[in-house]
Amino acid sequence: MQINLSKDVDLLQFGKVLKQESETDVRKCYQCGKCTAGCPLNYLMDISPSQVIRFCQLGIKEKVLNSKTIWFCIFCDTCSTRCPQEVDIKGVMDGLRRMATREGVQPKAQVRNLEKAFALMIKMFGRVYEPGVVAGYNFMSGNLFHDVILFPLLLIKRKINLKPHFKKAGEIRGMFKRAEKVRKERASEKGKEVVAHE
Amino acid sequence: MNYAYYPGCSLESTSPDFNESTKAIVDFLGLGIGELPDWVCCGASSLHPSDKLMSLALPSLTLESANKEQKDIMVQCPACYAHLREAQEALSHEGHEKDDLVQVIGRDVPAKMKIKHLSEILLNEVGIPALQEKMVKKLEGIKIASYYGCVIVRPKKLMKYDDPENPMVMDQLVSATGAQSIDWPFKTKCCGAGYSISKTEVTLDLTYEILSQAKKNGAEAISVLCPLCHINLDLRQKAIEQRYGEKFNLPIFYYTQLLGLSFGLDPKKLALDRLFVNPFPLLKSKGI
Repeated sequence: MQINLSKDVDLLQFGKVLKQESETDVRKCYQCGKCTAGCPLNYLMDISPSQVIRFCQLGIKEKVLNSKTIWFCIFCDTCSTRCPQEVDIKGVMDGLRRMATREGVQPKAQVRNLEKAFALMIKMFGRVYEPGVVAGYNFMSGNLFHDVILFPLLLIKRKINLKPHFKKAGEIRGMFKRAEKVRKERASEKGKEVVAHE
Repeated sequence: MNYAYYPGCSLESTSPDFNESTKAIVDFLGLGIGELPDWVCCGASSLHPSDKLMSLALPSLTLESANKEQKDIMVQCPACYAHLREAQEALSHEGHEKDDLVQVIGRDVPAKMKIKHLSEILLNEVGIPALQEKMVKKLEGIKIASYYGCVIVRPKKLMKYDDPENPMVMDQLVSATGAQSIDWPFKTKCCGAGYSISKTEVTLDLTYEILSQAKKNGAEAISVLCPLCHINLDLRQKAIEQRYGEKFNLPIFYYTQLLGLSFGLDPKKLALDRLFVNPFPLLKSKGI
């Protein structure tokens, strides 16, 4: 890949925001590649975890925010656990996802729908109603029959409880609202763009 | 011992087998651990990337319920365990994050209680000798691979459970039953976790490797301590076999079910009939 240093590199600003988001210092990485070697999802990524860290060191923001890698990371934490320099690679992936969301980058994997289905259940019931998560996910992703074949099996085996439980749902909805407010306040303090949440 | 049991949403809805076998052995051992009233969802891994504040605020409500009861917390789901610990950490350190959290919850929540996984309580507080005193059946002759998954061991600083590369807590409990706990390299390899729903084929790829490594190392069954690992290895085992054209037929037990068997508890009470990979032919062949 060709890099135009004066045009593509946004080292200072990007480095600052990344450090704040991920609470780790990517400059400590010496590119041993241990994170990449142990990553179970490396085979699906377009750039490897150690390359993500290298691009972050160089401040090449576009490359990492537009990568598939940050969306395929499953947060198993194998990389951060094994890093000899104690760089929290998982934390970097997590931070990059939040930055990408803020900047309106389209996710390269369908992760948001599942997150939204979960949050919806929590707001409705206070406890997660798992059949509802799958139904909500299928609806949002337009794949209505995903895993539907498993449903009768789960019923036969009595592996699924069909009754939702309500606990503190009203209080929790209030908390979601206050969290949104706090986030907006913090964002305006930092002069950052506000994260859009459903 | 002054614990209350936090089952979490998975054990309450899609893993009743884990929930029931947990209650069965806790009652049998007379540990006096009842369910924590008024617990709520821990936020699970889905909330964390998009809404960090809420991922800390939700488990704080459960910590508050434990305070009200003046109890420590016993958990079984590793994800719940991690989120309760994260909230406890955040509430224990003064600073910006805590200020925001208190604002979201609407009040401060003291978080000095102990939070432990049942496997740790059994190993370190009840102890193997006391467990063995109550065992009436030896599970001799079964080779079992203990599979821990990611969340219970990582991040190590947060979980403080065991060695993240080669944990032995469950191995010791499994060995106590008389079963042979095998040494194998995939104890803490990721099973694909939440991708079970959103990218099922990824989960099948990862679990295929786990099942084949277990089999290659001589396992006849796998023992787990996480409801999501269980779903991915048990419920999806048929799909894995179809995708790779390879038969495994490896029963996936919860460690609580194995302990319950050695205590001589009724297999129905331990919900063994709810497993997708039928464990009875294996148990019968070993005279259990």
